[in-house]
Amino acid sequence: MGIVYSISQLTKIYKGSTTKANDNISFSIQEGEIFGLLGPNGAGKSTLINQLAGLTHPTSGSIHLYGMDVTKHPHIIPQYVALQTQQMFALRDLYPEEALQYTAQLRGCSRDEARKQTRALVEELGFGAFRKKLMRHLSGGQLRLVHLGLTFVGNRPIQIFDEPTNDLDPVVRIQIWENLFHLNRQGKTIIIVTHNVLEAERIIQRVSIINHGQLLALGTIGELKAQVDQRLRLEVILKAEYASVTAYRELFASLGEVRNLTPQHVTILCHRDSTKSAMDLILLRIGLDKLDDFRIQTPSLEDVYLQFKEGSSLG
Amino acid sequence: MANNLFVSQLQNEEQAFPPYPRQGPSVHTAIRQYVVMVSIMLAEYRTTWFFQVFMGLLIPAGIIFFLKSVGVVKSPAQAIFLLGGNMATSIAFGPTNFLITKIGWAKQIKEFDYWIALPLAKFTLVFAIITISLLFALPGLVGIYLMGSLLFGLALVAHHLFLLPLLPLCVLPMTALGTLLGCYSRDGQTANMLSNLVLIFVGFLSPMMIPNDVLPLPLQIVARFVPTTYVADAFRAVLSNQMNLHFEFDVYILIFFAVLFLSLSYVFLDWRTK
Repeated sequence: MGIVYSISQLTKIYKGSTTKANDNISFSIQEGEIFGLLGPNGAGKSTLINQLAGLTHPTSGSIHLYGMDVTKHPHIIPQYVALQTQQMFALRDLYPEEALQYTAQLRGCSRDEARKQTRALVEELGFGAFRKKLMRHLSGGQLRLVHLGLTFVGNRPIQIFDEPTNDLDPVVRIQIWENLFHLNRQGKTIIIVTHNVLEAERIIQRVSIINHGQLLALGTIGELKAQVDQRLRLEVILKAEYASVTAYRELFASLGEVRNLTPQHVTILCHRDSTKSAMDLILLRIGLDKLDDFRIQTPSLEDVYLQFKEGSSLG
Repeated sequence: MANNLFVSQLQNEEQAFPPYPRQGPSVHTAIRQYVVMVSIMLAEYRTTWFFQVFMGLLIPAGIIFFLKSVGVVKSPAQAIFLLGGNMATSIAFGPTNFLITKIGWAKQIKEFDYWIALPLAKFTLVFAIITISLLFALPGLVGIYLMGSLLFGLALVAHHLFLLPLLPLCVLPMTALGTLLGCYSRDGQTANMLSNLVLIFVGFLSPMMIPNDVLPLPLQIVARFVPTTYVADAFRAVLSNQMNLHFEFDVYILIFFAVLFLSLSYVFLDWRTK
């Protein structure tokens, strides 16, 4: 597995602006990996992937795709890359199946192959309920599913998704993550921009964090997690009638750093070597019957994201 | 926080090879994509075709009816003058205006992002847009021709069949102009404004319904540089069976305008965000 994308000192300043939407970004993406791009709103993530997909000209720097300089020849990119944008306004007067079939044909599939892929995707993504509605009459979630289908169709080796699970209900979101994981197992390189950090953590293999146009961090999830506060998080949700018991509050304070999310929901940050004893004390002195929920969490990708976003410690 | 934020340099820094060879431009691919694009655009007109045909017919038909009602048409020569002008107006009010607003709004909502992300040549998109506009110009033109001939008492004669090959030549520069103006519009509101200006200029400030020598001198000069003048002239030449050197000149000018506006549209269609 080699490098598919090589991005070097990429900078983007939009016409009429003086702000750098992307500022001197350099990194590589390996073939067959699931690469995540995280960052707050306005960080420059969409600007970056629009350049990777050839929708926007970089101001300076270079992008190489399979070793080819696509900064100068962006027309090469669509031959290998499919992009799902955050919103799409084309094809609004087509039916979902038409949109998929035509897109497949424009990507070089024969009519029969396009039909075959369309039928498979319609079934897989559950278009049946709205296949007879024009795209302009679909709900946000339904449109999102069609957009995903438009990206899958044609089987491009590199597929980029900008907020793929926005507007989708939890069941469909899980299905979409599974679809992306399945694509990756077929050898596709997947690039994902998402705010849904907790869900994305399940499939992203390597992640970059962007803010204010700059690349702040890059690595595998495990490597980045190792950079943040390593204390474990004990989350205790007391039953309402025990939320104000002073003795419990004192116990929590003795176990570690306490954060009260609500009167009932308490987070305790414990050092790893004292976690077991902390759990034992909670179960002994309080007991499960007085708790609505009790969880232990290791540092998550969300913690990494929050730390780099805000410069604060874990929790 | 550790100093090294950029961990996990890729273990394998070798370049990956493309899974399949890059496809170079080919006529076969361009034709295939053009056919698909036309199919897409035909399908996209399912909710707007009536409006576009209607607009191409409504105002010119209204003008014809008005002129007939007030008794302005006193001779076949006048009838031919007005009918030729109305046919040209039909193109301006229909496909030209539609393209200005369609492309202007498409730019505003970034509709072109979908097309850019596909392995399409820009000229395929431009030609597909123009082709559909040509198709949707026909009902308005034919309708105006029949209605005008009927109301103005003009006979439907054999030499009017020369209108058929002339129609694409007349529609092409106008649709290309609509595409160019749409590309020039930075957003939908600017496109709407330009569209209204076209309506006013073509309807009232050009030699469509008003003889050129009656217009103020500045407008006479401007009219020489606008394709509608030559479109109307060419229609009038065929309707009056006067396909002479003047008509030949009109044809060459229309070809020039078509090539010019198509080329400019291709260059200025804002394909990628700057």
